[in-house]
Amino acid sequence: MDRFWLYLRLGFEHISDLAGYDHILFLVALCAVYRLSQWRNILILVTAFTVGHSVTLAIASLGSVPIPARVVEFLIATTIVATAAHNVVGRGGVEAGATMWPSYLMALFFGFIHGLGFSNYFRALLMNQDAIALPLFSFNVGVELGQLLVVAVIVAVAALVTRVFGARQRDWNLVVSGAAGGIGLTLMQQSWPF
Amino acid sequence: MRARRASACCCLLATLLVCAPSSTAHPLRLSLCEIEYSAERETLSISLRLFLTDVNEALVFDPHSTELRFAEPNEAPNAERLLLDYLNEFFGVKANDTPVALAISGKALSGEGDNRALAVSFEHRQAPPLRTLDIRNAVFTDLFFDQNNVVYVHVDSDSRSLMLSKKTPSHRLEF
Repeated sequence: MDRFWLYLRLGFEHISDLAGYDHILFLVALCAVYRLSQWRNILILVTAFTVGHSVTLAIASLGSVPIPARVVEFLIATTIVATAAHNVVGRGGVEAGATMWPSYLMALFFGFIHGLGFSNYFRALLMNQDAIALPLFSFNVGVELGQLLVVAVIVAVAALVTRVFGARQRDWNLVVSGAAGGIGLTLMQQSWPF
Repeated sequence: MRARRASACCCLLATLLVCAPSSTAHPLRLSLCEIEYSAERETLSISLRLFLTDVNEALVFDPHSTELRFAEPNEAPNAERLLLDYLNEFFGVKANDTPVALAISGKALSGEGDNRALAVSFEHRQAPPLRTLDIRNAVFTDLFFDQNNVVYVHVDSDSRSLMLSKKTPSHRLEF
């Protein structure tokens, strides 16, 4: 198998088989507040997250990021809780005409944090700096493809629940954000680095 | 309105309580193996890169154990033996249908904390031509159902990559 496809498959499977569910959970929380009609906003949000994720991985391929793995895990869990809290407390993207820039910037910033999760891991395993760029890049492409699949599923389920079963968007948001926030809090407690 | 708000809060709280205790973190499970054959030097070199937490879990059942201290000046006397016993059970290479005896020629550490990796090297005399390589890499598949073991093979100028796992632990290459 070609090395590019090997790591792409690894990244895609890691996301889509739920093993890397902390990233999925973040995406679930990120999309919970939006309706299917706001698909453009969702696309920009996920793209902002992807850009942030990719920038950190690119920086990491040039040199080690001196943040301990446990701190990174804790920060990733914090992004899930913060996004869930923002959905419940903040206005999110529910109201038409509300500015989306703070949400896009939040997704970008949280993308930086999520990108840290894999960078030091690959660096330790691959050792040789020349060998790290391609695996990191192709793994990231696989992760992003997996994320797109996950977002499509989340949006489809949300549309089913709200349009077919008649649940209100607000209730769907509360249940999904509550679940994501609860799991995020447990992950924060498990990875407490201090 | 107040009743609706209260039911929404109950809904949120119930979901938080149900989901919080049942969740656990689940990292990516990976190891790397590099096999290189040089006909000119008549040498088959094997390098395994394993996360130290996984090695400790497999050998002493504690991922954060400091008992074996691999590749450190005060490495435990039984560390290599334990590692070789484990590898002989879960890892193996056959060159031209003959098993390669694993004898450690070097060890090194890289990374920090939970991302600390142990590189273990082996060297084996192998006269040309190398026609087949049978590789079995099931390391840590006894511990983790989703363990993936990446294998790079370089035979002179021919390079190939494999992904071995619990489901597909071995592969035969022909040159």
